[in-house]
Amino acid sequence: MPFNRILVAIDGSEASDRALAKAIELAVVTRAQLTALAIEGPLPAYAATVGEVEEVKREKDLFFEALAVRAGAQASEAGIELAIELRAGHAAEVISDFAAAGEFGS
Amino acid sequence: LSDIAVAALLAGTILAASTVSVEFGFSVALVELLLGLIVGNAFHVDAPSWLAFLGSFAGMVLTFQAGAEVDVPQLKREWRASLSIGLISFFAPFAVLGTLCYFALGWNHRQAEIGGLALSTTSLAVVYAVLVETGLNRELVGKRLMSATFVTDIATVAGLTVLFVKPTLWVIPFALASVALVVALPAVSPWFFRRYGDRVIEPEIKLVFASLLLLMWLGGRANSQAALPAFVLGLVMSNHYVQHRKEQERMRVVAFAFLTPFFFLKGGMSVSAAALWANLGILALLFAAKMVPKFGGVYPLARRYTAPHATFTTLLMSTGLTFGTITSLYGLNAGIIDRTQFSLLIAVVVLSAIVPTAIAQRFFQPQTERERADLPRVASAQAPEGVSG
Repeated sequence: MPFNRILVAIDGSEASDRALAKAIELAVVTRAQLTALAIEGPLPAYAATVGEVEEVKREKDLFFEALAVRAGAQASEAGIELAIELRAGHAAEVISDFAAAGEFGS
Repeated sequence: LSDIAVAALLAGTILAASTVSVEFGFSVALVELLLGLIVGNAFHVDAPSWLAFLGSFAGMVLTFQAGAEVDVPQLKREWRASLSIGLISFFAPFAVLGTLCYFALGWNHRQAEIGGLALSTTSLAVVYAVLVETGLNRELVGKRLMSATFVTDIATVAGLTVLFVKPTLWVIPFALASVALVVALPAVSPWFFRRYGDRVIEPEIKLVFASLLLLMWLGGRANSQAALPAFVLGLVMSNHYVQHRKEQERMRVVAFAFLTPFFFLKGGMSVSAAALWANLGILALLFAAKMVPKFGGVYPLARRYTAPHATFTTLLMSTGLTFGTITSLYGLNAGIIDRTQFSLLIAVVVLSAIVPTAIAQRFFQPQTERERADLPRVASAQAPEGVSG
């Protein structure tokens, strides 16, 4: 079955690690373009101070930076290029919107 | 309950608020307000004098920090849009609410001024969180919104200081000390930081705290409130903090760990659930009196300066939290408003933090430039560009 573009969502969990490994395998076999989508969860709702928001944002940035580097390294080892995209919002909505806009699954 | 028993009860409540906030992703301030309400109403704990003092000082520290968070270069770049949106965002609800409280609710003029001030604010932190979450803080609409929020904040603290001042001789030393600190602190800070900074004993934080306490004392003697000089002091120090981020972070740690929890807890404890229940109609009226003039005033300007996101801008300019709480607590502590009025104002402040934000995020959230692109951008296998924003 030919694949041109593959989208995999990553969040650092064991399940997403397995999904990424499978997606890399599939991309190597099919020579498809692989994109990893990471979704930052919401910042503190209705914060009272900018400091509170900045602290959580910084924590999330560090986490996703490390996650992106790890995923990139994994792809490089397999000899493929990995496009990594970061979005904010509700995971299910963002993934489906992103997949539709990028015509994944074609 | 003895003082130490109250302290132990509040310390436990503060700890619970922190963990609930982390677990559920809610702002710790809102959780502290809510738990304060529960503790105050369930245990009938009267706030001891030390809590009132800590709360007042924390309010000053929050005001200073809000000033220090102002992006002055951005404010200068966007002054035309931010001045008009920010000022109308303050004056429209202030006029409507002041009139409503005075004529319709029978509050006296000082109570009406507190009501108008507390509900005219815009929450910088709520706006900032929404903008950062969506990446809009890097786009023009986000920059204009932030700058307009700074202006509304400045108008609020100016009102808080100027409206309640009584002309006594103490106004002179209060004004002189305010000007002297605003001029001297940013000038002295680089040297002070080089000589005494980066130590666990934190002399630079003590310098700021000493300045704020001096302003609070003189402001109190002048029958005024030190909000304006505290905010301006933060504003003139903002450039220093841009260069010394760790110093700013340490001050936040001290404030969040020990001071601001008592401020929000005291706010929650002073809310009477029974008074709220008995005045739900007035609560709805006050909420509408905040939202309607914000829309009437801000929306036409937003259509001009932040189109096509005018509704989103207007909704975010209608939020409020910290300065609304600071103003209401000042009114309560100074004996200007009673507990029922305070309860109503705090409830509207909290509602205004939640309702317009939720509507803006659910129905009017603009897409960022990147998301408007049809296809995902191909990044390298290294850290993505968006990560560090």
